[in-house]
Amino acid sequence: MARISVEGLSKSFGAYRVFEDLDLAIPKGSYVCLLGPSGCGKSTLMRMIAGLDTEHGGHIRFDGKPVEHLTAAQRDVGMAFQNYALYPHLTVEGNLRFPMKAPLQKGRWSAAQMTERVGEVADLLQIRPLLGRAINQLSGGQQQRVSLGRALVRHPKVLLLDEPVTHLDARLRYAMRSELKRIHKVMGTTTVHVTHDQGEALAMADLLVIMRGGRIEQAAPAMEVYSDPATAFVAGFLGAVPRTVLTLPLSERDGTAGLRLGGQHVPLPPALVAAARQAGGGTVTIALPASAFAVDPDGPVEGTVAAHEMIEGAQRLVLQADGQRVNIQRSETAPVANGDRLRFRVDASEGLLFDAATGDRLRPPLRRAA
Amino acid sequence: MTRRTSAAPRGALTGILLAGSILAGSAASAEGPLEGRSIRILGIGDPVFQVMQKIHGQMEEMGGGSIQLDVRPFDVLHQQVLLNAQNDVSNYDIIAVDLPQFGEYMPYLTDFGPMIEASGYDGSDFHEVAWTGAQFGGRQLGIPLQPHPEILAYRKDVFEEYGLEPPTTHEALLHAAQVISEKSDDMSGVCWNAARGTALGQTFITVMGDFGAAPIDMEKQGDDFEMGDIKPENMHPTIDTEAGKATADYLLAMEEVSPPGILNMAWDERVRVYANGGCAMTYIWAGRSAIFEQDDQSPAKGNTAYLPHPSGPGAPPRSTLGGWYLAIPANIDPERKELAWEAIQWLSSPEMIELYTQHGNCVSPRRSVSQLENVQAACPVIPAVDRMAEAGELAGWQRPPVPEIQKIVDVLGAEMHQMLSGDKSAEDALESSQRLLDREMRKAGYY
Amino acid sequence: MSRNREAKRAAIVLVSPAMLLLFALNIFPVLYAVYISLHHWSLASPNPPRFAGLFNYQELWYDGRFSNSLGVSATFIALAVLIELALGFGLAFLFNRKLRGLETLRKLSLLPVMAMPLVVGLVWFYMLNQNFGVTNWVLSLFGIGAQPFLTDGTLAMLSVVLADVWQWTPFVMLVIFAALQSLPEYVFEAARMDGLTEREIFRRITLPLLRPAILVVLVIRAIDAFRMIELVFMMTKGGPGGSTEVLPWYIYTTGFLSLDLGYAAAMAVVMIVLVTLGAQVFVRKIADPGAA
Repeated sequence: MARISVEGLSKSFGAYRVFEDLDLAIPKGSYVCLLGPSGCGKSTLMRMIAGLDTEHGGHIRFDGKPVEHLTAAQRDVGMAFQNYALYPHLTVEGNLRFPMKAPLQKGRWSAAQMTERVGEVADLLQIRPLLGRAINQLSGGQQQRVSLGRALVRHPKVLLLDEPVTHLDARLRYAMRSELKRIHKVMGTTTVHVTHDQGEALAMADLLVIMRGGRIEQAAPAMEVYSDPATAFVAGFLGAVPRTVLTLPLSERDGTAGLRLGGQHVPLPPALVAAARQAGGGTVTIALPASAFAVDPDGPVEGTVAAHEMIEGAQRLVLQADGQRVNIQRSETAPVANGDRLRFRVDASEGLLFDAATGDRLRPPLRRAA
Repeated sequence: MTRRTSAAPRGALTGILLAGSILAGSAASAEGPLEGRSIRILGIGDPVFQVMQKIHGQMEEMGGGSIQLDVRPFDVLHQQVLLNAQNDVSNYDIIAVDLPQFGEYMPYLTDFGPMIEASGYDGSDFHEVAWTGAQFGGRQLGIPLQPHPEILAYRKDVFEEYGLEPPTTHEALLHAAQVISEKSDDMSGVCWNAARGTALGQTFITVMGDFGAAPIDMEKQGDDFEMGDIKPENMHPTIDTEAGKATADYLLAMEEVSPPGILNMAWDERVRVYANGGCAMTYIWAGRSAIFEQDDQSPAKGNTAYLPHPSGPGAPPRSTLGGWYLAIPANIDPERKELAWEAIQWLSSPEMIELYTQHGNCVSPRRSVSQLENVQAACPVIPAVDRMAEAGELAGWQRPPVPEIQKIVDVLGAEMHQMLSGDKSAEDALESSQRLLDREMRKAGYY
Repeated sequence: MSRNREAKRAAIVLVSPAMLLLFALNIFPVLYAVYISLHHWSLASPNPPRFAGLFNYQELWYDGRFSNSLGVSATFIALAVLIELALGFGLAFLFNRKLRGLETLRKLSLLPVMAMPLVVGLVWFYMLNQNFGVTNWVLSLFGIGAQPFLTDGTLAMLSVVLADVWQWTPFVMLVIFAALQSLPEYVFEAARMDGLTEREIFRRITLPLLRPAILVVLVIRAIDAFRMIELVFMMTKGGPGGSTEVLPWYIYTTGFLSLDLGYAAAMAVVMIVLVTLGAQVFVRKIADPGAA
């Protein structure tokens, strides 16, 4: 178990700069998810923590001690790879034993202890019946467990999981998620989990780190990231029906401040008005939950259906209005086709405001939303 | 698997000798013996057919027809002749036959007798021994094209320099070879065929002939043997005999005065080493002397004298006659027989024989051609061979015309190589050759 | 029911050309070789073939030249294949480094594979020839006397092996190189995380992972080396003595020079049996990856 701190990290591949001055603190024993679209640098960051990629600027410390000069093995990190990377020529048991037989572990494990430890891990992961099998006789889920077991077996200070459940089918994925949480609870090892699946990240992370384009957008407890996003990107990134993020000009009518959408005035609640005043340039970015929109034949704004789909008893619509996309969810279902024109209402009371230029949150926030 | 292993070298060999197959393309004029028709010949990769390849265009013009000449290596030719004989109708009008092969091919060849009679063809211009060599049981099975003997070539200039007698006997040859090996820095005594297999096997039986002995128990007839009628009881091998022992001893003695790498030396290499001045003497098939006689760079050109195969004690000199005859397969399309006969008369005519000598084939079986000045100038070996032919020093019985001849050669070529390599004593090699061949003859059902 | 039967019939119709071809090209020649081997069958003899039972096989038992050729073949296969494997392995690892120029060098190194074995034999014959070979001339520049490369028993065997190694090492290199390139990079990272040194990674990860490729190339080369005939034909004719007379060359001289087809076929049948048995052992090992 270790506390990890990343300070001023920089990295470039040739002319392409992946990171510039990246900071991140991971508390001891926590379960951290690195989440972001592909290419955001999350895997690269993990490989640097692992010590597989050592050419970078800045510092990485474990419990305050710099580890840049240490090899992957010396850092005492266990890693489960995205495609398992099991030793195909060894059995399950051989794979589990392998890390304990490595040179740095010499003398630490007696034969009996090894067998005992393999047994423990096998029980933890419920793979004891598989110990004698060859790797190519295992299903994907089973290989995943073995891979995890191999990463865990020698009690590493830090456990790194690279997309550990991505290749599993949906049912297994859910089972494996809770399994990972259970294991983390039992072992208490500081764990870094890289994923691009926000549902997975929200469900598992103690500390959720959202990355984009080599930058950390927000690092906070999962619920906080969800309910109180620090940037417009984060606000529009999370959620089964992501928030609608619109960049609109400020307007004023009848003495109330508001935004202009589709030629209509959308009034802002007083708390937001205060925040909106901080914005420069006359425009502001607002993030609105799906519940803020309602289809209404008498609604003030008109949009064109760009996409639609059915989900359990509800209908999701994406409307194009004023050149921007609006996500709507409604509980009654009615047949629509792409290109249909619908009118809708907007209620900005749940909105979050961001600087249109930087994407940074404009506070003060209204309140903690549920 | 037999097929596969064999196909590789055969296919590849044909590849190397790609130039071998020349198909006539041009429309030929109707003048000349071919009269606008096309003739199909199966030949051998030996000087005379190589000359024909070289002057193919000229020959088609002269012949007034197209000539399809397929040239094959020895082994492949052997197989193809036998396989062609199994066909209902032959694929070739004319095939090349090596003198010792007549015994094997006898059932598959056409008798020239009636054709000779009908056309009044005169064979008396050919050397007696060459002409009659293709007669079996009163039938003329081949017309001589390139019959020539294996003889000895030596460097007159070198022998003079060291005051040595011409090497007419084994003793003289060994003595001269020893002197030259010792006194000369980079010249060895004698070059000969000692490579494993056919090369050494042939050497053994031709040298055995130097002692007046043949490899099987044939009827003696003066200094020579009766070959026209070989009976089953004549098939007993005669390897483990006094003559065989003398032959083995002579080969061992020659090995001492041979150039390096002699154990891998065969037909081409021995002549080339001699041509480059690497040895003072070489055994040689007479026709191949063109290699140095027609090469201005060679120190052997003009400095070479020719002798019959040197003889052993008490035996007359006998050089093995071999070389190529033209024959007509028995299964030829009867309508093409006349054309084949016309073509053979033309190909073996004095004019053509003379033409071959000018392009690197130093063989003339015709007395009239041997007299020509330009022939003697290009091929000093021809008058020498002529003299040997007149003196009756050429013979074919060293390689009896029996189907098992190749087996005899192969066994000797393997066993004697073990002896020369020091793996076996002469006695052991002779004994096991005798035993293996005896077994072979029994297997073939002769006795 | 009728549909099922129809499908079955279609299957038979569709598969039969392939089966016929397989029979005609693979099985029939072997059966025919067995048939010939049971006869006194000489192409040179005017007599028709006679049934001989197992006579030819009994002869094999007493034939010292046959047993010698088996031994020579075994020696040749062992030497050639082991050296090719060792060199090919080393070269594959060398070429696996991403260094400038190596790519071109790797492509060039494949040239010998494309040469016709007969030409390779011819070239090496001339290079090693004692009278006009370049090898001895080069040696003489270093003050080393002429060596009897083709006429000394041991040297002749080594010379033939050398020519084979020259021709086929690049092939071994290519197979192992391809296998190396396809090894999963993640596995090596996992091993590095487990703290293995490069040498241990080679011994405990790379080698075991290359095992199937090594076995495959071993089988291919061993069978190929067993069938080798061109180099001997061009370089030594089996000499000196019988020290380079491999089995195929003995079969060739028996079957195609002496034209004793029956006896040659018997040897060929023995050869097929040996190849099949030998290959089975390896193939089973390839098919069973668990037996590490």
